[in-house]
Amino acid sequence: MNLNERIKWISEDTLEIRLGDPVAMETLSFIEVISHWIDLEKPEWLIDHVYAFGILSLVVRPALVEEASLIDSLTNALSRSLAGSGSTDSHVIEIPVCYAPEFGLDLQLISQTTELSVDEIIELHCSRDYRVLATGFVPGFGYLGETDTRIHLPRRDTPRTRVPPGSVAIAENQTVIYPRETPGGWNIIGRMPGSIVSITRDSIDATFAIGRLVRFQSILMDEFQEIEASDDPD
Amino acid sequence: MIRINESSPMHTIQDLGRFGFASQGVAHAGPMDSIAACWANWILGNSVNRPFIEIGGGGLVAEFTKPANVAIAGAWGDFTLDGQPLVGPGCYPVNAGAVLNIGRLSSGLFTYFAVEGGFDMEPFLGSVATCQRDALGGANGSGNALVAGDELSHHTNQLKPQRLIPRRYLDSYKTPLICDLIMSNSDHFDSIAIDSFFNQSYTVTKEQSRIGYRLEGQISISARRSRYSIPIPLGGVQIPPAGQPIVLMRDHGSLGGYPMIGTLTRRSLSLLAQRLAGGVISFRPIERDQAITEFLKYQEFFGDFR
Repeated sequence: MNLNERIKWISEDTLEIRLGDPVAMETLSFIEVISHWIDLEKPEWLIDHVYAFGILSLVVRPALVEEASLIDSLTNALSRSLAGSGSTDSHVIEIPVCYAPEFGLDLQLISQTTELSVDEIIELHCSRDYRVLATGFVPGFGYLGETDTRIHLPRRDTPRTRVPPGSVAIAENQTVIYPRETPGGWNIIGRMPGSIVSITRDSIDATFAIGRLVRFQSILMDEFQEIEASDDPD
Repeated sequence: MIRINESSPMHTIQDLGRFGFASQGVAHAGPMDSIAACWANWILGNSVNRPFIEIGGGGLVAEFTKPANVAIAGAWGDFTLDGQPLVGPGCYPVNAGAVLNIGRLSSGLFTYFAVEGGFDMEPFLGSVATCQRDALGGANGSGNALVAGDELSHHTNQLKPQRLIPRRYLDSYKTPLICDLIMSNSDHFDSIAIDSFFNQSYTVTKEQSRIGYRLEGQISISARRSRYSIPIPLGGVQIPPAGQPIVLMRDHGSLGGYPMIGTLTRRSLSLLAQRLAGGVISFRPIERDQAITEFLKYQEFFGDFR
């Protein structure tokens, strides 16, 4: 990968690096290595970074950035990721989801559209491991992919103004969890008990990070309530 | 102490923003017009990132319990200190018991109010910037705007020599605005769309918030839709399916799915932020190599300008 051709300034202090295929393991492990490198080095020229679907965006102090050394650092990270030192964690995060009708608000509609039974939809959603392909939008939010083609469907025509926190949803080739109540256009199929992110005064502890593996596990309403009750109310 | 006697939801505590958590979806927040905000701290000799108040739309009344030097910059209007009119952006010494009234605006939308030494409050994720969308920052850390009854503590007056903003740097917020746009490397737009975008004038609509400003032009711009959400920058100009632009402001989310035609320079963004609904704007392309000169001048002058 020749990085020179992939870097472009998109504003005075923001540059964008196009890394290619958003679902390729190569891209995800590169981002893992870069994130690790940023956390470790905390380079002074770097103010913030965002990655999503093949594009890494860096907010920088332009006076301190030398493009050549930036490309060197990124190229080093790239070769490390190719060498496998940053290969994505094979540990699978298991997330319990209750697909009861009071949580899976769009299950009936999806069933009609896809001509699958509700049980088949749940079965398909739980049947594979997903990779975290992007994080952001709001703290804790992760875009997981790819879902089975049989449950691919567009976002709702009109987004809901309030999606209940913990809602598990699907759209296109991805699945997501809403960490808190926000507007949202994804099709809601269930709800996870507890919380997927904790924010303190100094830090954010999120379950999802780029490249991690996730699997959903169907639980019943009483299990859902049990986990909710045992979870810290804060 | 400064006591807030009258306020509105557009009055917030800000600093230059909350950086380092964008990958987790935390908005940067910070001042809508960072040039005016930086002037307010500069006038007082404060460091550039000291907390200040952003007063959107006027309507703030504040009372001082101890003497202070305050700076007011940005949007202007019917402002008084103990009933005496304030003539323009600058530094004003106040006595204990004085009342500052930021009344009806006649030019611009966001006024910046700083106090010598800055307001004292604890940062949340590294910043005091209020972000209602993320429920972070502000006087109590949970993203709320200022409300009547809030009490803000500030450093004791050190009476440094005050500075004046040179007149040539005072911007008008009422004239039609030509925004400099750094073009995206976008394959979402054909040459017809790009021509229409640059050759027409737009008006600022009433849908303006700290997240974004919606603009309206006679001709809708068509764009090829994109499949994925990608990182979006401050000042980015998005074209949603309806074909009318949205300019991303300080509280915008980290990711967006609409095609982006380009990004405003920070100076153009600051000036656009000050335009009320009905304000007329147009765009012209600029190379990033050219835009960076102006940006670096601001950084050099103010310190960490963003």
